[in-house]
Amino acid sequence: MNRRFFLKNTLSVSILSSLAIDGWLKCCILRPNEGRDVRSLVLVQLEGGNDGLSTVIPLDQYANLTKARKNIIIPDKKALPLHDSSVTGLHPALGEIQKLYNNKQLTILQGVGCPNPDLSHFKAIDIWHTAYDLPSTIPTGWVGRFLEQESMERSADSGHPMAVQVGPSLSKALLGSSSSGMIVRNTDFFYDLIPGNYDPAPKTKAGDQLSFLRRTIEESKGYLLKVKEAAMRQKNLSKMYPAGNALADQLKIVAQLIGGGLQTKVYVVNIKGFDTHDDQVDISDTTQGPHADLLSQVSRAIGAFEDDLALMGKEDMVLGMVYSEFGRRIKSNASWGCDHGTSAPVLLFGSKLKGGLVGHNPIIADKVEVNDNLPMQIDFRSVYASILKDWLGVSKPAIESSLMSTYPTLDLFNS
Amino acid sequence: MDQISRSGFFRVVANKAQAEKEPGFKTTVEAGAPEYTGIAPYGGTWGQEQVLHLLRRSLFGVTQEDYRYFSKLTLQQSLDVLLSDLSIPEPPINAYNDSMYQDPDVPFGETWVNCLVNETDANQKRLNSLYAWWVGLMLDPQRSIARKMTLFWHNHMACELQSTYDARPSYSYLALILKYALGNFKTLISELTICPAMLEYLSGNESKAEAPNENYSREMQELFTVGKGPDSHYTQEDINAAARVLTGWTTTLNGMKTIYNAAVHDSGDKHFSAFYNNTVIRGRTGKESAEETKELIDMIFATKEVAKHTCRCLYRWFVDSSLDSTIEVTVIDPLAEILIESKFEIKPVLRALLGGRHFYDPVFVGCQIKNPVDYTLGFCRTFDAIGHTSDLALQYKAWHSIVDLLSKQSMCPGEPPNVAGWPAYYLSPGYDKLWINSDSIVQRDSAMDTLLSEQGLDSSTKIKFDVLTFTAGLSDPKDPDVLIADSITMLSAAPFGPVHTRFLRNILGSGSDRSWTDLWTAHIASPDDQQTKDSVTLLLNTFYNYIVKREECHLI
Repeated sequence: MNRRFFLKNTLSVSILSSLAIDGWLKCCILRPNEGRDVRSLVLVQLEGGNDGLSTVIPLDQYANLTKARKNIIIPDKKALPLHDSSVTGLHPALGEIQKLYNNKQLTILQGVGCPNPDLSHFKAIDIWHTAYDLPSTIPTGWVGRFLEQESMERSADSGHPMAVQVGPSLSKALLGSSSSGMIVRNTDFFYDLIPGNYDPAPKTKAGDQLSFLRRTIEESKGYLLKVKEAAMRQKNLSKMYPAGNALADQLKIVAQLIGGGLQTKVYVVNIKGFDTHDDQVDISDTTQGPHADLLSQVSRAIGAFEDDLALMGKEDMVLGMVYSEFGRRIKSNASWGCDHGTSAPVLLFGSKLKGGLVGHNPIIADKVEVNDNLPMQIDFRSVYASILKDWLGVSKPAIESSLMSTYPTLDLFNS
Repeated sequence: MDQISRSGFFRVVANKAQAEKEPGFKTTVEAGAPEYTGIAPYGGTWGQEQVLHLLRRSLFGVTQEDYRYFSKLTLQQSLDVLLSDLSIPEPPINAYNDSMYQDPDVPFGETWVNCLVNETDANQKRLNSLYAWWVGLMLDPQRSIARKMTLFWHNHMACELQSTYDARPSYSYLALILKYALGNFKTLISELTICPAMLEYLSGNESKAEAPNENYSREMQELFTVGKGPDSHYTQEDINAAARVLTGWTTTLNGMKTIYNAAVHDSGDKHFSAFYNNTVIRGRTGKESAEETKELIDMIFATKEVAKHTCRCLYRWFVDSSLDSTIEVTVIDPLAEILIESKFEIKPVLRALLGGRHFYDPVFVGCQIKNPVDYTLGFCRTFDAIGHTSDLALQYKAWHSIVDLLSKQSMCPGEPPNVAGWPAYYLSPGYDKLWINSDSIVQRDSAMDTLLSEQGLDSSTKIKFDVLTFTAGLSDPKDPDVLIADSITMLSAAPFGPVHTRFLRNILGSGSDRSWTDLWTAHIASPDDQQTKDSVTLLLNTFYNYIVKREECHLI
């Protein structure tokens, strides 16, 4: 940890402490935040393959795009404008995202993908999680690897979970060679796991499973305590969280834990339903329909999350990344949907970003064939590299361990 | 200490090179590799360990009655029983009409599966009825592997029932995998391809010649049939071509019935890649064009990959998640041959797998982590917490309470996370370890607390573990050491070590303390004495609570 980083953290703690939020301060005095604030990364996964061309709309390609996907295209007049671009607009359901962008708290990375894309959901997800895009797979994830390398470099264990997933099962991204993240599904119900004494596990397959179970239970006990403490220290402060929005429910937990001082570096949340092969849009109005509903949920959830973090004084400490396993095909199908594609925009949100657009609109040909896909502009591992180096301040060996190769970084953050 | 001498449990690694390192789920020991290779009929010891292993993997938990029945049979006789077809169950019913809610189209006690939905809340009520009904079926497997195979097929050819917008096609999907649980896989795929739920779920119903929809075509090849094994080389063009073949299949407006609309069928020739022997499916028009789908399925099933992929999935489900190159050659290949020779009848493959040497290698006993259905329904069955009642409303309510427990543990049958099923069956390297995390372990413990509480699962159904009947059925329950040994045998696939055994012994009274023996004897002498009964129940609840929450009891 460098000095600049340390000072910044200290500063933000003191700002926080001066906020007289009823109850919070009392909690803080009773149970002082054990450590410093840590910068964290929140991964927002849009499951199923989000249609990038309807999310960030290349207005200067509109004529050709209309030919390729007349039945689902968003009318250009309805696209939400960006303060610094006349050729790129946002899906009309992304109102909160537009606000963040125009406030320079959101960066749009165009054409993010990989050199060897795969149109299978499951392989594509694996590529994003492992940072490895060859036909075989590898057993660990990019987050798990850097966290593990970092923990080897640190002498003391904070006792806090290094990564938290809010959802039913653990993302492979969090998998290290001997560790993984923990799962938190709610902060209302805590349960005391019985302390365990046991005989040593035998050296068999079953014994290996026993060891795994015991290790998980032991770790969980410690982590759940830290999570509980953080949850007790902080309530959500934003009134913007929409009801009935599964992503907002998850981000609420993340905000609460960050606000409560959990020193977790990476959080993972997800929202499913983006596999819009059919009925992506309403036939009578393409700005409406399932895809619009999903984007609206994402936009409103992130808007509320950022509001919450700002009210907690934590907005400078959090970076979000919204991504999907792939974008969708340029040419739509006849079912008012589109099939699996390749590269697509990635959205980053956070107050320390420079904001703006990185990369250019994809070029849409005059005649698009069924299997035509968008070329990659930015390797997704360049995005990871930039976040690791410039946001999380991860050591060089940890970055190498995470990405297994060197990727150019992007200039994303204000110094 | 008979428990501890179970041979495979303590057998140390034979071949360290084969022991798989499992990153993220790091092994603290070099796990043992199987020594029993191949699928030649198993001819070794046929004792308690083997019988229980077979039953745990084939049913959901093992009841004392199951064990008594099967322990008298040989392996081949056991397989005859386990592989018997079950009759088609009566469909789910309206057990949900009450003072708060009335489905205007279905009277109480009658099935809703053929009734229109004219009321907005009806569909959710019916879906809940469907989940509950299915759990009810799994709680009563009738000594057949069929119900477990239905769950296997559901995971293998997953459909999220909620996503079809109507519980009736969802019921039809489920009825299909119940019907073909032990039937012909190729027939099952043929019917599944055009069943209304799947046409809705994977977009087939909206696919048209002008720009065919690839959804079903891709998932059918990638997940349901040829898979993505090392020798599976279908191409994007194969996905395009199969999608074109499948155009025309759609549903009636209400989504209930399949119809074939030749007007939207792509009548051009479809060219497939070398993986499919450069097959050309000749494009046709009119009614006759529906025949192209049959040719498509014939073409796909002519590859060896269908059989291999299916057998790998069966292996991961029934045996073990790690599948190395030796097992590929000695188990998967010969099983795939059997599947092909039997023209995709599933019973011969199951018989070979569950009757073969490999399955009985001691390393596989307790080598998997139970999925939530095995964990929860298994103990519900073993302790008879099924809620036998002739009151239909209560019965469905009881089943539904169990559905809730399963949902909290992230495995609600009927609602897999996506079309690939539950990640524990495909996501390497974790596989079944993915069931266990800081949340799920809490949910499992908490479920056991509820089922072993005075009140039970909920106030009206009072579903709870019947600890008295279970205990009474053991060989000599008044002797604490025998009670401990018997309970562990029936409840856990892995033996308990001395630390756990001592703890259990202390619950019952340590050393020469005769208090347990006296208490149990008093209870047997006057079973209607409420005070004694309450004391015994309380003690046994604590006793079994300790057992079922142990890590060993999460193994199967």
